[in-house]
Amino acid sequence: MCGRPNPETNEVCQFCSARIKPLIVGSAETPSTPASMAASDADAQSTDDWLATIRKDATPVTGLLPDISEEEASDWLGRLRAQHPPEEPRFPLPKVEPEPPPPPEPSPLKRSSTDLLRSQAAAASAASAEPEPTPAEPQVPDWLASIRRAQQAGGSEPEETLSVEPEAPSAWEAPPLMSTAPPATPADVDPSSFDFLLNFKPEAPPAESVTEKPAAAPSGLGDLPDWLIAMRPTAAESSAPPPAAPPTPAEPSPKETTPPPVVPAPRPPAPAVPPPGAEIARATLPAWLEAMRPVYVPKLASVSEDREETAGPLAGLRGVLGAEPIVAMPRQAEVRSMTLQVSEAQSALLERLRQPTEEGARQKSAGVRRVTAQLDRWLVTLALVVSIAVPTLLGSRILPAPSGRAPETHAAFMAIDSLAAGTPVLLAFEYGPASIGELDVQVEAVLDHLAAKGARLAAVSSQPEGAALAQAALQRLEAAGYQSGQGYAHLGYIPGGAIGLAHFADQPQTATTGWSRSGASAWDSPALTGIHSLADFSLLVIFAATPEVARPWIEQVGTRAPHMQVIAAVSAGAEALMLPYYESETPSLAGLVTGLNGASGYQPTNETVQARRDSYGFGILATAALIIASSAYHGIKKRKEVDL
Amino acid sequence: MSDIIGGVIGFGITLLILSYMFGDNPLFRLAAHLFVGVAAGYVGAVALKAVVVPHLLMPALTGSSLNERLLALVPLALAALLIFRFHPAVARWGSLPLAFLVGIGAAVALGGAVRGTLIPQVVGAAPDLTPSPGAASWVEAMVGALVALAGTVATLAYFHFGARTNAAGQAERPKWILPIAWLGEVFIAATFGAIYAGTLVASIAVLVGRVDTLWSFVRRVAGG
Repeated sequence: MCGRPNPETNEVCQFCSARIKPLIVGSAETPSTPASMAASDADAQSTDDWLATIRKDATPVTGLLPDISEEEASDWLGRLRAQHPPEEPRFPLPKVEPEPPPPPEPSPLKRSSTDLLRSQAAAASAASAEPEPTPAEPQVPDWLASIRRAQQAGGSEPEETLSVEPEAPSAWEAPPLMSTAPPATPADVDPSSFDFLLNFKPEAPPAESVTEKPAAAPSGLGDLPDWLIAMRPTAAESSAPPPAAPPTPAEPSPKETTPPPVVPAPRPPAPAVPPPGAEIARATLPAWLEAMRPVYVPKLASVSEDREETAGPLAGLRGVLGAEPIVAMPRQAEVRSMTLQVSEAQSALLERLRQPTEEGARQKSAGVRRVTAQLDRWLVTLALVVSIAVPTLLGSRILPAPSGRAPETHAAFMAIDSLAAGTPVLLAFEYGPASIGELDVQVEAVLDHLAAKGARLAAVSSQPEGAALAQAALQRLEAAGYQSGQGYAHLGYIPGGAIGLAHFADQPQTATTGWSRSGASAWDSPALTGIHSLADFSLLVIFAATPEVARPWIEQVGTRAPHMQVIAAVSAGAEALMLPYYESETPSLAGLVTGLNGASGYQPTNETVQARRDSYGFGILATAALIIASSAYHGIKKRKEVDL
Repeated sequence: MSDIIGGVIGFGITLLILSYMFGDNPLFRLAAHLFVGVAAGYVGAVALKAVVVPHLLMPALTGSSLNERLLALVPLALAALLIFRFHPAVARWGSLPLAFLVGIGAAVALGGAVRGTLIPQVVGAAPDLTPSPGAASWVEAMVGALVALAGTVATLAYFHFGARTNAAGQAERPKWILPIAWLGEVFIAATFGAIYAGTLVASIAVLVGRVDTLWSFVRRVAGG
């Protein structure tokens, strides 16, 4: 602490009682000097500890550097710090809140080296009469200025010799500090750690004095080594921006003629690093080892580095490694670790064997399905043809006629039968060609009855096809003495659907134009004499194939003429939805004729109805039998599949 | 002669349609496309003859007065705006007549449905159970009314989708509604079965009518 020289054998300073030799636990034979540390291999560990102690002691000094103001700090050291900011550690460790550093206690060796520098500076300042500031050094540090002053003073100051003689320079060739760390770069080395190294010249003569250096360095840098001089910033560097990357030891400066004080020593062989671009040959594992290798590595949940701990004593800290994704999160192996050992040749053989089998099964399945569907279709066709075509071709009359009319059919019959001669009746043809086979019998029966009653008929349709079918149906009445314009009139097509029907109910003459062979308006024909509004019609007959086209007539037209009766002759498929209009407490329909059965009940003597009765009856029986048989077959088949 | 030609064409097209029993084939597709094309052409001709000319063009050209002719231009202009629907850049101009049609159509259909279907059906679903003088008809009417009442209530209960979350976190319907909903499901199934049966019977009747027509044509051609 006092800086005064002591004999080499002293462990504590004889002046201030400060300890010179560091205490190293477990090294009873710890040498007092580095030279003695290189005596044996056992001393290498002692050297490690010794230097580690130095580095540990030097750390607080480094930590204090930022506290020094820029004016007080050395310019080139400050620039070094600016040029080499602390790098990210190569192997990051969990961030731990650093404890307050203990009070710095420089090691005896460091203290001796710093004292030595101080004494050198004093000698230099005494040797030099006046400082010679160079343009490249706008701000000379104090210690350097003191060196210059010592040099200018003539170097008459008492010279200090190295207290440590590097008797065995080879011992320094194995820096234990670097045994487990990569080679230190200038950015990794604390500049203050150079202080004690500056005085060691392993290759210098043992008895060489540091006072010889100022003579060899007339520039006023005292005994600084050349490599340290080379690190000094020049005037251009001081004004230039800091370099992007620090120089590496592998690329020394051209000015550096002497080796650095720390000579790289033979270190334990590092892992071989392949050159860039070189491929690493994949090792061939033996079969038994390959079988033991796990083929599935569970993927751990990725944890963001910015994740903030939200609970526990670490709450609020970022970057804390979370144990939950690794430990607590349940995981399930996606692939079994042990797989069947199948070689590529075996896989190829298996694929070749399996492909025809699956293809054959697939083709067979598709073929069976196709044949089954075709067979079903042919069975249905055969059953229908036999049940329907045969009675028609033979003209059989096996099935008896219905004994009576259904109530709704009877109501429809009575509604027409009660009409007086010449009563205007409105006919709505709301079906297409697809329904002629069923509805033509009903239309025939109803029109025959109307013609027999002598009603005046007016046909209309909201379907374009219905208008044409209405024309065909009315022409059939000409055989009964009805003539177009005389006994019936065709009002034509009403466009607009429900809107058109509402318009027709309000203004029948403007909603329709009428079809007449003479080209004159149908409304001017004798068949429609005295018809000016919907209320002038006594009866509305709706021929409809579906309830969707019959309902607008009931809703839009029937409700606007409460005194006009409405009956409907609809397809059997519309019976379930049209019956409520008849069976309601306030019925919208006065009668209903549905399907071939309704036509048969309405006009039992109709020849067409009688000719079709057997075909119709047998067709229904065949259909019912097909449904029952098919249901039973598929039920049994499904039961067998379930049993299997 | 025209009847014979028409009958032959109809006979041939009917056979083409019936060829579907062998599966989808070009003959069936030919007949189907022919039917669609003829129907479309006929509808276009009917629309031109029964709608466009008499209701759109003639009032605008030969109106009895200037007001009538100017008034006829309104539907003509709206119809012209519908053409703009073909081009995306001016399609929005076609929205005006479309909105007019949809709005008027919905209003008319809704009013007619309430008056012609909804109210009569609701009234019909509430039968009068007052005993009538005829004992036999009264019992029959009573049974029918009760069945109708039960069917109506049960069907409405089936479409009751109110539920509460039970302890297991699952939506659960009230227990008292489950048997009623099951009964409603039975009524709905019976209704659908009746509709299906009616459609099936109607199809058979159509087939019977078609076979009878073809046979009649053959007999007439053969002179039988």
